[in-house]
Amino acid sequence: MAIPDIHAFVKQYFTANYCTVSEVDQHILQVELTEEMDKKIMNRPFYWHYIEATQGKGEPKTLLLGPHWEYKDPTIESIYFGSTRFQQILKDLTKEPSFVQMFETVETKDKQALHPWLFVNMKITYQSMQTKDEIFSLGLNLITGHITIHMMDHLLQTNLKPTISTLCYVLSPIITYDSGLKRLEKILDVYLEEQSHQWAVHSIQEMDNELQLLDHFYEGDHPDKEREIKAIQKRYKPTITFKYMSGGIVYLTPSFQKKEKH
Amino acid sequence: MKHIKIQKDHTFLPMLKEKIKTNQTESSWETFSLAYQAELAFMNASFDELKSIDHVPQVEFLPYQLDVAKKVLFHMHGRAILADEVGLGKTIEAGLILKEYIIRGLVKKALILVPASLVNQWVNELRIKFNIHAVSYRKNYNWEDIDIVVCSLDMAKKDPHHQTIINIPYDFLLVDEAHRLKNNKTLNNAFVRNIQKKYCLLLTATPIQNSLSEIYHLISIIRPGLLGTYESFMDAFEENEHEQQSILKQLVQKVLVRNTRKDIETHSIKRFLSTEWIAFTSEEQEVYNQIEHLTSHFPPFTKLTLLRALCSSREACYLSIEKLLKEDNQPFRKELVNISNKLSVLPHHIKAKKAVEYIQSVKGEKVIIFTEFRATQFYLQWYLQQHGISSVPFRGGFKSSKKDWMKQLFEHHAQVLIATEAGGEGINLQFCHHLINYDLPWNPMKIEQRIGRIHRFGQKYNVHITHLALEDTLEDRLMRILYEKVGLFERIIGRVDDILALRETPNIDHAIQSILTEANSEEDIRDQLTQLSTIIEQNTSEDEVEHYGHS
Repeated sequence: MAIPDIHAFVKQYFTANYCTVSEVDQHILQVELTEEMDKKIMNRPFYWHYIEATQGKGEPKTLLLGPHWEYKDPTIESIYFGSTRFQQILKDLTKEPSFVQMFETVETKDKQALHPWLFVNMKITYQSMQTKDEIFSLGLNLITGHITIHMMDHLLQTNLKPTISTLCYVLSPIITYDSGLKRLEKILDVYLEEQSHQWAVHSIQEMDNELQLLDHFYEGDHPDKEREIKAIQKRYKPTITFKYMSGGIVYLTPSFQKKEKH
Repeated sequence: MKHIKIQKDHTFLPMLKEKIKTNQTESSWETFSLAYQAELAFMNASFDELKSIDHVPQVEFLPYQLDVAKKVLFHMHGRAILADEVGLGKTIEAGLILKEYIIRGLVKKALILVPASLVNQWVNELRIKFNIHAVSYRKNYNWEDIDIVVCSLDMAKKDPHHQTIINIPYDFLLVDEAHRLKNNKTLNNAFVRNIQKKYCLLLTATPIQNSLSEIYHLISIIRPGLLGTYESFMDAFEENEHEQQSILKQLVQKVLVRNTRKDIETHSIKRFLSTEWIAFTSEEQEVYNQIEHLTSHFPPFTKLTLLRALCSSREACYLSIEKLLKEDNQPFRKELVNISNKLSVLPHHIKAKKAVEYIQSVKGEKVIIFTEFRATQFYLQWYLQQHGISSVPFRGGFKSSKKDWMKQLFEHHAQVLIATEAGGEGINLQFCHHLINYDLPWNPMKIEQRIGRIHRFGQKYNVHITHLALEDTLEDRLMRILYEKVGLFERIIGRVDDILALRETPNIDHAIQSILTEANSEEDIRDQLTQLSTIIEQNTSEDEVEHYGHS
């Protein structure tokens, strides 16, 4: 799934990183980098090293970013999904796992209880002669034990903020974090157990075929044969890799769970 | 399930617990959700769809190029010979495949071996078209440190690079102009076999040039054992066992993809071939006859060389004779000196005049002239200059930087590029659409390679190819008997089926040369050349029937 609105995404990214972003016109963004962002993405360590050594004041750059057209003005940089700059942004965002603690924004005149939810976003990669990823966003209500596999989808439609709204209070969890995390892991184990994994079966068949071909080509043991066997195994041996990306705790009104059911 | 290796991450969940307990969480929901969107964007949702297309909106792929990439990635599992005809975009297909592997996280270390003259072109194309930041190898670089490196095969195979390279486990190896690996006895072939590689692409427009064994050795790099042992493979073809052969053809198709211009009807640029028949001036004809009627003791192959040279230029012929005269005990010194003297008083070559007329007729549009002789190249450059036509030379022997420079000069400053045969491989000149074959090579396939320089992607105009051929000479024979059948040769290399049909004509270059030198008379030559082309024709038409029979 590519990102539908690159322009908006870039704007959000730089704004969230305290850069001043303005729109030159409908298509072109002007981004005044902070010193920190300049160091992070402009790849000019010598400049910053020099500034520090001379105790001078560095000047962060200003970027002009536009869609993937050709520009007469060389100061405008093309930014689109596959561009080096955009990929750099995506990598920066995902290079370390991130953790949050958030509260649903509630406007209420009465006291309102919020349920604690534990959630993780994770990716499963299936790799053999082919590769595929699946992304799960698992959420567990630590009061009721209710589980959803579309947690982020729902959260993205919910108003969240880092502080609790007035008149709201949080319930203490009935399920402990430890046992909650175990429950989430268990779900994934069962999910993997239940699949037929035809992708792996086919790949192993192909691998066996290719290994047999080698016997027709090399007589007996041959150093070249070893090398080819290794290469074949690298291409066909099936693996499943878990990668956790992010997670945290969110405090939500009980109506959140009802929303999920429909 | 038990055969699948499962790699879990055991550090995350304890870390999550710790962060929550100690309140070390991020305060920006916005950044958090951007990161999630970024993860979704990196996801490969499907086993068999090209994810890379999203990354390169600036490149327009043609449907057959996407098909090739999918076939190689999802059916051949990354080991294949890309054998599209020259100019159909093998580089684009290969770049797309590499990009897909990088995006899917399957390739990190890649080695790209190309002719020295193409190193810069590859680096540029990968960067501009695919945002793949490949590095052109320079002295003192550390091989282990570069993830994606482009290097000339000739440099890589030399020590100390050779030894370093074969110790690195590469995820991806690409060899361009891979017909250089066709002989399993060469260092090229052994070197490439010895490189540790997960995925491997060999790019060549001519997977078979002369002999069937070539395709066997190429496939043995890609998938050793697919065609059995060398002996069993060759036996199957020599003994003409039809059943065996059709099995082998199917096997070849498992690792080789080929598109021909004919297959791709969408490509709307047409080529116009024409032959300009020229008569020697009487002075020239006299010298030609004199060489032709040299005593029958004169070595026939040398005679042939002199005749060809004279069909190209006085200078080429003169230099060939000079070389012969330098030999000690040259038994034909007297005859050669005599010819040499006559050459020195000949007027300007009739072909050169025709070439100038042609260039003047296209009114400033760019023209490429191909010649087989360096002396002709020099002469033409001088002769064109006398007529106020600017030109640049191009030779295989140039350093790659000089080649790039000459190409630049041609594109922006000069009207004409004069190339020798070695220049025929690998340069892209699609900004030009006139080509003159000033003299004719033995092997008609070479003509195809030359035309491919301009009749390729990016060409916006119909291309005009003119053969200059001299009547009543050797060129006449070559032209009428073989070149008029160039269509045939195209068909031979046109399909995988047809590639194997070459079995009866193990070495075209050699066959033609020996016919021309060993035949006793003009009729004999004619008969034998006709016979050769009939053999080729028969083989091709058999397979055509087979192929079209299904549709």
